[in-house]
Amino acid sequence: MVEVTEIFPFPILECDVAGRLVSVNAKCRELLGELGIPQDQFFRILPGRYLSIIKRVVKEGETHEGKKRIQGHVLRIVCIPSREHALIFINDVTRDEEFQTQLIQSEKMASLGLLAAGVAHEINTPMGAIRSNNDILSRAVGKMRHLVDTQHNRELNRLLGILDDVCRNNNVATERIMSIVGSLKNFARLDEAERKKVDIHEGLDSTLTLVRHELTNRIQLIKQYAELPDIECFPNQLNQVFMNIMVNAIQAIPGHGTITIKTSRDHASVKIAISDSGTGIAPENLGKVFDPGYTTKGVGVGTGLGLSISYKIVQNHGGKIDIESSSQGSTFTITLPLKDSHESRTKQAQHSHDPAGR
Amino acid sequence: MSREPSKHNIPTILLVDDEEMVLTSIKSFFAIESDYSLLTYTSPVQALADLEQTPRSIDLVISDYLMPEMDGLTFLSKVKERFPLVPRILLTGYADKKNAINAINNVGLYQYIEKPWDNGNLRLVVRNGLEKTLLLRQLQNKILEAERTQRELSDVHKDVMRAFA
Repeated sequence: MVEVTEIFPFPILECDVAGRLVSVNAKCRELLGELGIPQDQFFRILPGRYLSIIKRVVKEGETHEGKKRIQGHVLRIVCIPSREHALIFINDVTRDEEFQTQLIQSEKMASLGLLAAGVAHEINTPMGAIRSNNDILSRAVGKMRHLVDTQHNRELNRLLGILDDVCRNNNVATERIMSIVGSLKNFARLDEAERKKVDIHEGLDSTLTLVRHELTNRIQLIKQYAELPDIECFPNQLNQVFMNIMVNAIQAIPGHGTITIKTSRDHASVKIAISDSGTGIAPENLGKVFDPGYTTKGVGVGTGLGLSISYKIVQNHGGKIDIESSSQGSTFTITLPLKDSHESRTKQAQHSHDPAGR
Repeated sequence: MSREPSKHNIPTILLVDDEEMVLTSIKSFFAIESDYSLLTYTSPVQALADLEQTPRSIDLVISDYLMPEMDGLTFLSKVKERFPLVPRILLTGYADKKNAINAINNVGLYQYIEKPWDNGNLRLVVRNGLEKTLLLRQLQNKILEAERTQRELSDVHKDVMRAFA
């Protein structure tokens, strides 16, 4: 028995009903070593109050399944009775969980894109009617002015003036809706699921339109756009990156502040730098911001996947993301190559068919 | 199906869109900015049936693209069989320019207009389209006239030849 568990390809613990360690196999010693846990503290890799579970498993003869999160690892724990002892099987499912959350996230983005494009399309028809009707109203008002002698009818003149104002106001409102719908379409860009040469500034601006309501009067936006050539990329993916970084920038600023978006180029690449005057990232966390699942935002605020996905997207484009951060704020700089070699392009094509991006 | 040109008549536009609000809006626009007569339908199938029943002169056709019974391209190509000379305009909310451009080539569209449309632009396209109809009809008449003259001339020629024979 001992020999069999010893060579088992995953970690197994055996302990008695009092929770004393009877044996531990090679894989389990390896895991404990990796986590820096001494053997006599093996309870740390088990879910809380595990002793009562062991007791129940041994005494009642039932099996128990649980999960434990420790140091970025996700362990699936199965406990079964074995004579007077409990056998505890441990499976490190961290990668599976990562894979799953990434899958969920990319599905979520895809359905969000579909929804956005669908909504944009559905809004277009009634919006077209409203815009046209409004145009008809102001044309009719103009014609009425010519028909009636408004000089001698002050009240009519006043009413036509009000109608004019209202029509103008309606125009501003419909143009606003149309630009939001345009941004939604541009952001989703479902019609462009392939590589395409696009104006990066257009992507930045349409993403800005979508986060504008978050800025309100609290955050001042400064745009410093340089002359940029069109970049060959997956525009909908890059827009997602801009969105993730902008939302983070907004959330990093507690009160009033500024966000600066600066673009520049050199002979080989373009740079998009998004800076915020926020609280910055603590030096010890700087290395973790691209880790999947890492978040400092509370439960329900962030998934902790935004930046890890952004990183992957930019990497697939042959580029990189650099971060500078101090207590005065953070700057995320996205660097994208101007020319991509053919080889990396084929590699990206394969990437885009693999939902895990591995 | 060539009819006498309706030079002094009011131009008739056939407009099909499954959304009543689009029909009302475009109809109202041309009511205050033109003297065109508009025939509007929410159903392309009904529009075709009516054209079959009561033959009448149509000078221009505007159709929506996405409609439940029949898509705009099918409708316009059926209209083309009946009125080959009449300009056909596709009104599309379908955000796919590539499709529309293909359609222009395949079905022989005169123009496509994207939704949400601009009234000023719509009027311009319609006015140019109607002018094209008018010119084509005039040209066709001139050709007919020329053919007739040539026939008469050749008759005269024959008579002359016979007289001298």
